[in-house]
Amino acid sequence: MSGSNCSTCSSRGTCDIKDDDSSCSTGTCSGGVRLPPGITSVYDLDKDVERGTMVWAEVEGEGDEARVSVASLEAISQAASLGDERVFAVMMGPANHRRLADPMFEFGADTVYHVRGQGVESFHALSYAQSISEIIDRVKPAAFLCAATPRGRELAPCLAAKRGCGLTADCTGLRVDGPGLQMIRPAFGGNVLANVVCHTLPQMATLRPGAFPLPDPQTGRKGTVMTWTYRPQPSASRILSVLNEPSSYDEGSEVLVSLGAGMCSEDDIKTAEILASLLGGSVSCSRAVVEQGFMTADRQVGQSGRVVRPRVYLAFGISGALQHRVGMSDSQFIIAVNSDAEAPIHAMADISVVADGRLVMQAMIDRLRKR
Amino acid sequence: MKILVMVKQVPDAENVELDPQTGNIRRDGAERMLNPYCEFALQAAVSLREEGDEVVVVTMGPRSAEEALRYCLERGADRAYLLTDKDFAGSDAWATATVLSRFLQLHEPDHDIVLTGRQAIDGDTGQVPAELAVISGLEPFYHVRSVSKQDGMWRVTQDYGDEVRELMISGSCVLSIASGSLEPKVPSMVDVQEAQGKPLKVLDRESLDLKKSEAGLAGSRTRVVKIVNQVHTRASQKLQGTPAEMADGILQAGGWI
Repeated sequence: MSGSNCSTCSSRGTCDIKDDDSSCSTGTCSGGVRLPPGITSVYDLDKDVERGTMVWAEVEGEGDEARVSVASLEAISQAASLGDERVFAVMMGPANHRRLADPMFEFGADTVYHVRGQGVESFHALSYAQSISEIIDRVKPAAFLCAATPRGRELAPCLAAKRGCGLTADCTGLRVDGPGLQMIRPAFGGNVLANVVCHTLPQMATLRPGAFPLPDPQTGRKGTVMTWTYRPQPSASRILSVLNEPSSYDEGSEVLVSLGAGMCSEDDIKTAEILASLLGGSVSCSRAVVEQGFMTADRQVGQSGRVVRPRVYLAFGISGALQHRVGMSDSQFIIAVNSDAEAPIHAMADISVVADGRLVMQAMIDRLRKR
Repeated sequence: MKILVMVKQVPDAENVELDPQTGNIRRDGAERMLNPYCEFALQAAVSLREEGDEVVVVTMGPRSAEEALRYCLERGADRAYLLTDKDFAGSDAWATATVLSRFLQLHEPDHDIVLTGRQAIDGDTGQVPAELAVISGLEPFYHVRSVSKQDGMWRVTQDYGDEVRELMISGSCVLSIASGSLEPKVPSMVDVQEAQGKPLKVLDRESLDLKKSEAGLAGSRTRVVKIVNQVHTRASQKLQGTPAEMADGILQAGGWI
C-alpha cells in the first residue's frame, strides 16, 4: 500500500472503491482492501484530511430527459470557486445516468460519486443522507453544499442532524475565511445579511437557487466517476402514486405580472393574464387579492404565500408592505407601477412608475401586439 | 390518539417596524403572532382529531410565547407546553431540535404523530422538523399539502413542486406542513373561555434534563458572526410621460422590445 493519499478520494491507500469504467487516477488504491472502521483515526492516518467541498447534485426528470438541475450546477461551480481544493459531487441515479457527470466536470467537479442501486430513483431523504454520510466518512470534505430546492431543503437538515453538524439555510453568498467558510444569508425579509459560521465539519449550507450565477462551462474538462452502493434505509411509508407534473403555479416563471389591492378586479386579472401571456410569464398577486377572493392562495407572493425570484417582477398596484417584500425582494429586476408616489414598492424597484396601472398595462399590451 | 404540534411565535411582519439605524426588526414592543405555517400545522392537527383524541401544542421561546399557545388553545388544542429558559436563548436549528426532541422523549413519548409548520417566517430555515425527526429516531416528511387518517395509517400528500406524492405512513413521524387555510378559524366566546381552563405546563432546562452546553447559544452548531445592513441597490429609475411612453420604457427595460 502506498503511503501517499489517493488523489481521488483522499483516503490514504485504503481506497476500496471499485468502478466499472474508471479507476483511481494515481493507482495507489489497492481495491478490495477495507480496513476496520476507525483504524485510520486510531493511527492518525486521517489527520489533516478535511479538505475540499462536497455537493449534492440533484437530478431532474427521468430517462433521456434526466439532467442535473441548474441549481446544483450553480452549487458545484460555487464550490469550485472557493479555492484549489477538490470538488466532489454526489449524484443518485441508475447506471445510465453516468453521462450526467460530464456537465458537472465542466462546471468544476473533480470527482463524481454515482450512488446507484435498487430504489435510488425515488428521493428518500433519510436514505440519501445515509449515502452522502458514508461518502463524507470516506472523503472527509471541509464543506458540504446543496441547492435550497424543495428536496435539498429536506435532505440537508437530515444529513446535518445525522452527523451533528451545523447547517446554514438558503445562503446567497459564501466567503472563504481562513480555514473556515462564512455563509451569508438574508435575514428579516432581506433587510440585513447575516454572516454565519459552522463549528463542525463538514461546514454545511444550502444555497439559494439563482443566487450564484453560472459561469461558462469549461468545455471538455474531465474528472473521475466513482460508484457507490445505495443502501435504502427502512421507511414507514409506502408510496401510492407519483404525479410528475408541474404544480398549478409555475414557480420557475421568468416573468411575473403581480397584482395588488390597487388593481384588484375580475377585469384587471383578465388584462394581467393577457399581458403575462404576451411576456411569456404568469400572474401572481399580493395577499389583499387573495383575501378578497379574486385569486387562489397558490398565487400569493409574500410572507404567507410564496417566495419568488423571477427574472422580471412587474408589480401593479402593489404598495410593497414588508410582508409582500419578503416574497419578491430577490427578483432579478423589479418594475413597480403604482399611482401612489409614497408606496414603499417604488424605493425597492429598478424601474419606478407613478401612474395608473390599468392605463400602463393596457398600453403595454397594445405595444406588444403591434410587434 | 395523541397529536403533537410544534409551534413558534414570530414578530408580526405586517405591523412590524424596522429600526432605521440597524435595519433590524424592532423586537421590543413589536406585535407578535403565531407563525402562519404553524397555524397550518394546528389546522391539520385539529382536522385529524376524532372523538377521544388529544391535540398537544408545544413551543420553545420566551415567556411571551405563552400568547401563541393560548391562541392555539382557543383554536382547538387541548393542552400546551411552554419550554422556556434563559439558557435556551440563541438556539440554532440543531439546539432547538435537541430541546424539542428531549421534550418528546421525556414528557410525551407516546405520540402518534408530530406536526410542524414548514418554516418560521422570521428564521426561514425550515430545518427544525427534519433535525427533530432524525434526533428522535422518527422519519420526516416535508412539503406536506394534506394529511388524513386511513386504515389506521396516515395518508399524506407531498408536493415537491415538480412531483406530487401520495403516501401511506404507518406509525409516528414528523410532518412539515406547507399549506392550509389563510382564513383561520375565529374562536367563539365559548372557545376563548374554555381555553382559560386548559392545562399549560411550563418546563425549563432542568426539567428537560438538558445540560447548559446542549441548548441555546452554547448548544448551537452555527453562530452568527456579523450582521450587515443590506443597502437597497436598486436604481429606482423613474419613468415619466404618457401611458404609451411609460409602457415603451418598461418594455425596453425588461428587454422585450
